[in-house]
Amino acid sequence: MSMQTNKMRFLASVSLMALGWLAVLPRLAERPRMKSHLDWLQARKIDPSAMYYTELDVMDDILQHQRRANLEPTAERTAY
Amino acid sequence: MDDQPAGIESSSDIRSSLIEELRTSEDWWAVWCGGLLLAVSFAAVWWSNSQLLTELPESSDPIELSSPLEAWLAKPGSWRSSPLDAFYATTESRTLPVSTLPGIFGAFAVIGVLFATANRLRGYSARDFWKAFSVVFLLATLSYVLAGQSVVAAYNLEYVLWALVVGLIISNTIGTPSFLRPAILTEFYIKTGLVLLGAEVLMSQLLALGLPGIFVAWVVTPIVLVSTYLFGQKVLKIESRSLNMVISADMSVCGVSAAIATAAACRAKKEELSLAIGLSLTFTVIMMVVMPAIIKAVGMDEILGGAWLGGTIDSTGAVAAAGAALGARALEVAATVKMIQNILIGVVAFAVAIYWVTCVEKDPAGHRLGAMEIWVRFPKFVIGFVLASAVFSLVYVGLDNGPELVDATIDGSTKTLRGWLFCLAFVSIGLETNFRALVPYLRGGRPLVLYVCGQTLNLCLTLFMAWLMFRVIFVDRINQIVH
Repeated sequence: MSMQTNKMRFLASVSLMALGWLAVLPRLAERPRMKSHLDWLQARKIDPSAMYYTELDVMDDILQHQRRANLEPTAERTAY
Repeated sequence: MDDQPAGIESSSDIRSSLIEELRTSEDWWAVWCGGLLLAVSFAAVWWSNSQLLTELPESSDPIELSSPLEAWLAKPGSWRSSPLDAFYATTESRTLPVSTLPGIFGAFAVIGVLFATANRLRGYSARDFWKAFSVVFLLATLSYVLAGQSVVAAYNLEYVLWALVVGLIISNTIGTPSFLRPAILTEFYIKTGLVLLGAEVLMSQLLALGLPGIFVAWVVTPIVLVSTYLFGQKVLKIESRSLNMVISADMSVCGVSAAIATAAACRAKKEELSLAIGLSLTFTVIMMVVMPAIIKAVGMDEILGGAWLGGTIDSTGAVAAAGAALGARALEVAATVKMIQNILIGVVAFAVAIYWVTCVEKDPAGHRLGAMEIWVRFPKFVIGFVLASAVFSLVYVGLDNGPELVDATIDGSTKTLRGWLFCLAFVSIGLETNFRALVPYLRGGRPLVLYVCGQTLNLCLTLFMAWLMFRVIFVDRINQIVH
């Protein structure tokens, strides 16, 4: 394959991605249904692309809640 | 070739070869680099908060500790309409967005200095590394920006996928320039990242949901993993054992992170890792949309639905999104079951490494390997990974304010650096991969059949175990924990 063809393929790929990320996806994000879904995820501190539990902000709240739930019976016993 | 037969090496030969290995081997350097980053990060949190910790009254109230390194280590964040927003972050303590550029430059400097030094000490040129690293790091930054677009993120298309795509576009069009080679250190980045990930594998989190969580995440998962692997070998006759193992692990454990750890433990080819991750992400997108709809349609109980999602959907973020679609209780159960499954990574990586060196990589005559030979072949970075997990798990439960110290260390620095290292690794994989190299793995569609069959078994077994544990045996205990 000639160098010229390779460069053309590279430019085509870059242009396609630029079009997707600079035009299509931002418009999609502003559509009412998608926008409300994204706002809903943000409000719940959920990042669906998180790879591991430490990347999920909502996990801090869940673990804190569970620590309190696990401590509750102990606290009750202490009170008695 | 050695004149001396294997097995009768003198002790001084063994000692000198071990010293040489410690000095030059990539596995050991990953352990040194990862260990150094963890030690510095923890020490920074400890020293910067020592006065606060000594003055604290004895109370069970949670306190918030921070890392002084947090401001100097960052990655591009999420954005909706302009990619420039990826370079600004809003924090809870500040109302105005803060630029993440100093943090991104900080991550570049930390990883660059560490790897340039390691390269220099291993006998390679540090100058060549810096020239190449600047470009590879820029490509990793671009990958993070692509992954940060909120629509892309909402469908669980993680940064590793875009890092791979960015690299592939370059290598399969204009070709990877030769000056980039010194910084294409796929395995070194992955192994160092895995040692850092070890600190996030906290064994105490295992008990978050008590026995029900352990049964769903730690009993079903290994059964599915082993069954899928055997099915691939005995029924589908998949030629590559490592591809078979990586797909089985990423499908049964927790997607991309499990695939990375297992691939490194069984020395899978980079094309095999790419294929396994592609399969996992594709099915995750489908399952995170379809499963909550099915659960709602059949009127399944929220807690049971959450446990089913947590045990079956590969990716952690997708599990949380799907769980939240069912309700707060489902989110709590789903995310916690997935977290317990996340912790299984350490055990799986260790077990796979042992299995590989003892059973798969036999010597040419098919003889059992001796202890020394097993040690020589064992991927040493796994030791760093397991050790990091053990040390941080002990600190978490053993020290006063251990959870706060560990959380501040992970959130403030090591998690960010680990993300960059994985991102750099996948840019490197893309830069080294030719599309044609992937074709042989796709022939006959066997990896796809393996994934579908394994996931079907996973769905059935997890549903049964979740029902038994969460809705029959431990129903009162679960109702007490989950409100």
